[in-house]
Amino acid sequence: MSDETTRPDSIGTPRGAMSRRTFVRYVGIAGFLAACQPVAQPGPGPAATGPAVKEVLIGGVHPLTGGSAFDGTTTDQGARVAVDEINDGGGIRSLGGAKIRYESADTQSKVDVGVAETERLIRQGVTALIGYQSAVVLAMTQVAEREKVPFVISLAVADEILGRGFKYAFRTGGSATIAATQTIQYLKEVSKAKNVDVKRLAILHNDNLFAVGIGKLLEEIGKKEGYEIATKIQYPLAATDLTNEVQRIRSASPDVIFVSSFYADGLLAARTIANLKVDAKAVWGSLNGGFSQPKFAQELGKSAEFIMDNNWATNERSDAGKRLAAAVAKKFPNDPYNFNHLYGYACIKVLAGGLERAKSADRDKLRDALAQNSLAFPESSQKGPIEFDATGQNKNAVTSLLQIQNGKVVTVWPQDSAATQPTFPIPPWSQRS
Amino acid sequence: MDPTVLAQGLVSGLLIGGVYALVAAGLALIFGVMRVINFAQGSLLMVGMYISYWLRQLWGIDPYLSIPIVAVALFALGYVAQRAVIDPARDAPEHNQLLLTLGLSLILQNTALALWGASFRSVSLPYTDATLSIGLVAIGLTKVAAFVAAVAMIAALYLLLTRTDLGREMRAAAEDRVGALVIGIDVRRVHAVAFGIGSACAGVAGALILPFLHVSPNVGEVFVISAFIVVVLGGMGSVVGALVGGIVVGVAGSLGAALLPAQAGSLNEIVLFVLFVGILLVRPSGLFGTRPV
Repeated sequence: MSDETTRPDSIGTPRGAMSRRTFVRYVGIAGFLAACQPVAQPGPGPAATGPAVKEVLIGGVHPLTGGSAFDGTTTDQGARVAVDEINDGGGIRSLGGAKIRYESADTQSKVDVGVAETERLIRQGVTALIGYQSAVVLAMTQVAEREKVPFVISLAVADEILGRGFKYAFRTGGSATIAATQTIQYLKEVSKAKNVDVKRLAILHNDNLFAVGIGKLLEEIGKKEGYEIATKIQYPLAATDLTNEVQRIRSASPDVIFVSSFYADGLLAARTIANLKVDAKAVWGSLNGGFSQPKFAQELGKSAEFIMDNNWATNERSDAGKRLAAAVAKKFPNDPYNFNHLYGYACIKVLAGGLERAKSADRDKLRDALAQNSLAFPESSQKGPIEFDATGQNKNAVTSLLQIQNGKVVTVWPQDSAATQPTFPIPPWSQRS
Repeated sequence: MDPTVLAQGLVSGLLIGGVYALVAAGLALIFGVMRVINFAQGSLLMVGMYISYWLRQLWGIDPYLSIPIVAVALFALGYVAQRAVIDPARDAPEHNQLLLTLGLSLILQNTALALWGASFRSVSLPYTDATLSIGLVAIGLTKVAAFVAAVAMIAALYLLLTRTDLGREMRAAAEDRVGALVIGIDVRRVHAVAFGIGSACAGVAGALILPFLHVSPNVGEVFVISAFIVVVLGGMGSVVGALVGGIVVGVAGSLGAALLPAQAGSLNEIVLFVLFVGILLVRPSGLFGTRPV
């Protein structure tokens, strides 16, 4: 210990059993071990179909926990409401009143868990599956396609999902392209109607498959429609702080800030915009996971006021829409009714329609029936029925523009289904109480 | 280059760096005294967050007032875990000890998953949005509080190590276990106390970030990786090194988010790891290391 001066706070020993090199090596090994994930075992998929069908088993694979828990849980609730409605109304008539049995599984918002659960449900002999969340559905539909099981998607919008020529995947909701195109279209229409000059757009999105896709589409379509992209910023989904990202947006001085995010990071983004008092003519989501949720408006309070979002919406003027909202509120009073309920409901209704037409619980016959099916969808703001094109996409899917006004999410565009006028441009922070 | 963006990057990075430093100081203490790499440090932070969260949800206790409770609870958890799990393996090869802490981490994470699910939870507090504005730079007061409290706790740890009998015992046990035993130090107790204090550092860091961050069973992962970088950067087993290293890591990550090309968003970490490799090349013993290895 002669000339080795140890700092007073230093608690390492010169004769230490482990060198820093060993430390670094072990940290590396442990990191690798921690990153290793169990791999799901592919299993055989027996098709459980017999001549006399008493019951049709349908599986739902949704994120009931994890980052997308709220969306997944409410989609699942919507599906359950539809199952009850069909069973109470006499089941599937063409199958002698066979009841639907709905089995729900949790993807935990993770791809590997979703794939494992999909395989488990297929082994249990489900006739068809429904599911949600882009990154996970992308993998789950791959399994369903391999096993030839019809898979009806609610609001997993990534273009890639139906871009692979799959035969067994159908989507009742819209695609990212439909949503982004209508986002720019509504911006154009609203700014024209309100006589507001909009040139520069900022795009903020997380690094998940879904949000990256929307961000890219908004940039492409925005440019094509003559807008200037002031800045486009991507942040990690697990970000703990967005202050730097939002400051960069302010310094680019955009007219409109587009945000594509999930719930938790959307809340963080909106809160940061409010705390930094960044002024723009609109803060506008495109299929945002939070911006048009009643829960979001509640949690963020005054800072949520005037936030807009292009999203799927219930037709608040139709009796069917009101009836569905009431049925959901009665069965699940703890979670506010939202568009996830609507599309979870639609998935089951589409499958029920397919089963009626197929007159069989055979997976292949059901698939063929779904491809030709046409289901009226008066609960939503879309005009025509749900009908699938060659890729399995609902051709009539449309978004509405929603805005938080007085703490409530209301439809403000297109005009014919709007409950009220959009507030555009939104008032600057200095003029808010 | 917009000066506001630069200033915001520096301030945000400095503040979160304090939290990184506190987590890393606990890691450095455990490593310094016991030569054990504690891979459970991030999970202990997560446990601290959940304790603080439930104290708030069930009894309305403010997260800042929950700090003493969290500290005591995590100290006890660390102390018991060391005695029950790590101590029996004290003469085993190092990689066995490392795997033990990794196992401990997995147990804690999966217990939290089983008890509370994977959902994000957050507390709503009257001061969540309290913000201090200097020009266009905005500073969340909860982040300032986290920084100040973290630095205060690191200072207390420093004083404990340098000015108290317990601290001297720890340093003695660290330098020469047999020698410490010969002069009558209860080395096993010292090890357990060090593990307890290291765990308490992580738990307190958890309570400090709860006011501005969602909690989930995996929340510790972000912090544990940065803590390892901080420890190697600052010099192993050095508490002051952990403080400086924490701030360097915080500022580097934040400036990455502020200055890298806008499309590169998720590449912030590149800045961090380039810095990390650079320092290892130039000063292999870390900024505050006492000898080259």
